[in-house]
Amino acid sequence: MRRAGRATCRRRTVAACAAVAIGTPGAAKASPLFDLTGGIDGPGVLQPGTIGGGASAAYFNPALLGKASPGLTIGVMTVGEQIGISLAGRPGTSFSIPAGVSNAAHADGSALSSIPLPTAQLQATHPRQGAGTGHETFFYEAAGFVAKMFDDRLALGFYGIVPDGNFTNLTAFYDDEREQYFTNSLHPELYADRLTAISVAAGLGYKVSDMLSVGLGASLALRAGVGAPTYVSNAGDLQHLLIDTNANVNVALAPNLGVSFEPSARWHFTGTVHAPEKMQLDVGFTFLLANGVQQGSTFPLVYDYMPWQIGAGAAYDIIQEPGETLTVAGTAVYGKWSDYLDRHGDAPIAQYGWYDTLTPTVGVRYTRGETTWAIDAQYKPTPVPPQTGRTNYVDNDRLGFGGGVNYAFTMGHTSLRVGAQAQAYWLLPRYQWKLPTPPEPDGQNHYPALVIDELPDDSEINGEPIAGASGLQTNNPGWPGFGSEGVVVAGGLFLTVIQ
Amino acid sequence: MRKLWLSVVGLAAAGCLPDYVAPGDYAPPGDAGPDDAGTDDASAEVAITSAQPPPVSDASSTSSRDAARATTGEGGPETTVGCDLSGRWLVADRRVANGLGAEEAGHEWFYFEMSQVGSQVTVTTGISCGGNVVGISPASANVDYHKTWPAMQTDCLQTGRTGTSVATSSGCSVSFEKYYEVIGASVPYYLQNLSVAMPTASQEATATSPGWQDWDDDGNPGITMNVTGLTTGQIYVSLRTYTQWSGAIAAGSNNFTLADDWDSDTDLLGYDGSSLLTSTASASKDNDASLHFATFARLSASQATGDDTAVCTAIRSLAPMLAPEATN
Repeated sequence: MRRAGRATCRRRTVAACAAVAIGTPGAAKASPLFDLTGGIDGPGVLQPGTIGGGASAAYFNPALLGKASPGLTIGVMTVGEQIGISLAGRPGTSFSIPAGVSNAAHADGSALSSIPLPTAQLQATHPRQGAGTGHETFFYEAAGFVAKMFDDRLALGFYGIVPDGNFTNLTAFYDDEREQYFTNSLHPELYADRLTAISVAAGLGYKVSDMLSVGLGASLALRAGVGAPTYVSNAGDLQHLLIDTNANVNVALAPNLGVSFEPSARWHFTGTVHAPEKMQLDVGFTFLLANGVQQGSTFPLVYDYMPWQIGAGAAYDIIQEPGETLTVAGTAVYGKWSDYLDRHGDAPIAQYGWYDTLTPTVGVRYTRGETTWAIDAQYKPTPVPPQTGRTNYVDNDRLGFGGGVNYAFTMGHTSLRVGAQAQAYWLLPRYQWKLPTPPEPDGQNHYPALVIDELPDDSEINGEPIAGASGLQTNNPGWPGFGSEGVVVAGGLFLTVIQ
Repeated sequence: MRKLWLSVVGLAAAGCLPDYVAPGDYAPPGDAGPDDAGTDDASAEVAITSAQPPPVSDASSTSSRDAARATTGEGGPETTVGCDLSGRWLVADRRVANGLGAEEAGHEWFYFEMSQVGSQVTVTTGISCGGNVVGISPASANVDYHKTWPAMQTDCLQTGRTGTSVATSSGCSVSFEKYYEVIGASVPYYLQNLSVAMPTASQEATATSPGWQDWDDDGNPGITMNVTGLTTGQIYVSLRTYTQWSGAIAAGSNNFTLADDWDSDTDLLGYDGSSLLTSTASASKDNDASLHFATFARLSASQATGDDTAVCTAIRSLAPMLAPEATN
């Protein structure tokens, strides 16, 4: 039945068909870049939600905007990722998809869930891990300002990081065997294109009292949609297809809240809440065939997803002398990563659901005169469970260190502050092997969480069993196992003109 | 163990940061791929065997033919797109003849590799894998001549046969040129001299003159047909047959039937048994055109692969399943 259907479709498409692809915008807010790089414009470093001092508080904790010097900040930043992914060797030819299975179907004539590519052909045209995205370097411009009003009780802040080159990259990939049709590679799930997310935020901080400040902010990003009405007169002659495009770009906001409480001169407590963020592109396709039959489909693409994040921080001034301050600080951020949606809008399969995480950071700030030094250490556990099944989400536990210095001075009659910051993250080595998929003689997928047998045992072509269909055959690029490890480094310079 | 070690080393190498793929196997046995040579890595390229047409050979010499030609199954598309017949096909030809009121269906099975440019179809590899005759009416005979099949495989080639497949408002119009086949006699001579009658019993081929040839090496002239049924015995014949296939098919067909306009010039070189046996040799084409046709069935990559002998063995076993109406 399936084969007949396909043949009919091909005949129709070859004869003539019209296809219309429509992308519609969805919710769009994202800033994983903020969360990775922290506050580069002050002493915040890896604890910007606890230690303020710059315009970046507009995103991390708007309640701290009151502690920032009013003025304009500009800066530059770079982030480099070197994330190596190693794939284990395929152990035998019996696991390969043989050539000539494009017409394969189940023994009862029902269609396979997806027709795999012949493994040898795939390796020739799209070598395994031949198009990874774990080795890239990005450059950014940063800008921000802080303005204060009403006797400094109200502070307005703006902060943005804009990548050089492409304004943003949105790269979708599948995290399982479906990626064979595209890059046939594994990709770092929480880096790569997420490091070019649009990152612009604004916030308001209000000083309720000498002890209490509250803030409200929002991150801003683009929401875009693209439509591509296409007319295909001959599926075998795609170079002559006709295409129009319809695109639109909008903006979206995601709120974040902050609070700062200082019960004494030495103690400082903070709290933050960030709403989930994502950029979603709803793509719709309709195919109009020459005989008037119309078919359609829609699916979402989700980029730069960030979950609910709730943070709490505390800082204590060990030394609090005129001209000298030594502060220890700690922050914990809870991330509800169990709600994660990947780039195709799919939640990880239940058996391999992501974990919620708690990320601790500790550090020290030391100020002497007009110079402030900062150093932080952070451990961020990965929310991704061991990928022993079908999916290949690549992520690692991460150990991070950050340091910075800034110096305030006066030039002419202008007060300035300059600073530099550097961060280094080590993605701790992680190796994982796939669990074996038990035999499924009836050709049905009884273990959807495990690596899928893409050529089920009951596969036939024209009623004839397919040699080599017995047992597991897969093009899953992560099978039979993979490892990952890497470093991410970032550095930035900034200059603030103090009002 | 070596592969396991390399795999472990590969995983450990992740610390060097570049992406790494441990050597492994990527192609199943029988596929043209790197596994046949051992292992490969991500940068290795796979040699994709293409189905280049062999030179159209002079069908006069069995020794000149490359018996080692191997089919990997990667001979083109595995489904028909529109009217493009490129690819690998099983062809089963059915011709019904009358002899003394009895109807007999003669079958011949072919392996075709075809390529199509525009509407022009060329058989780049065409091999006859043998045939038989089945009685389809009371008092008819069955004929077996399987000992001739190896010779047919090497001498009854259709390589180079041309045709057309043209899109029409209702599908495709397909036709193949009239094509002759000689069995049991000097092939090039009787193909090139169609006006010359097939040889008589006294005209055995020699090194210098054409005539009948003992294709099944049984000491009898021509080929030996073993007749069973109402009459049992052997007849010795040489044949010259032509077929001309044409018809309308649906676009995208992977299995279709064309009418066969055929005729045969059969020369009885002798017989062993009742004189009734000769009626089989003198049978003439049935007037009902619907009884004569050729069925084309597209082959999957896993079907009919290997050298010519293996291909033909597979073709003969597949014919009843893929083209049942043409084998009855």
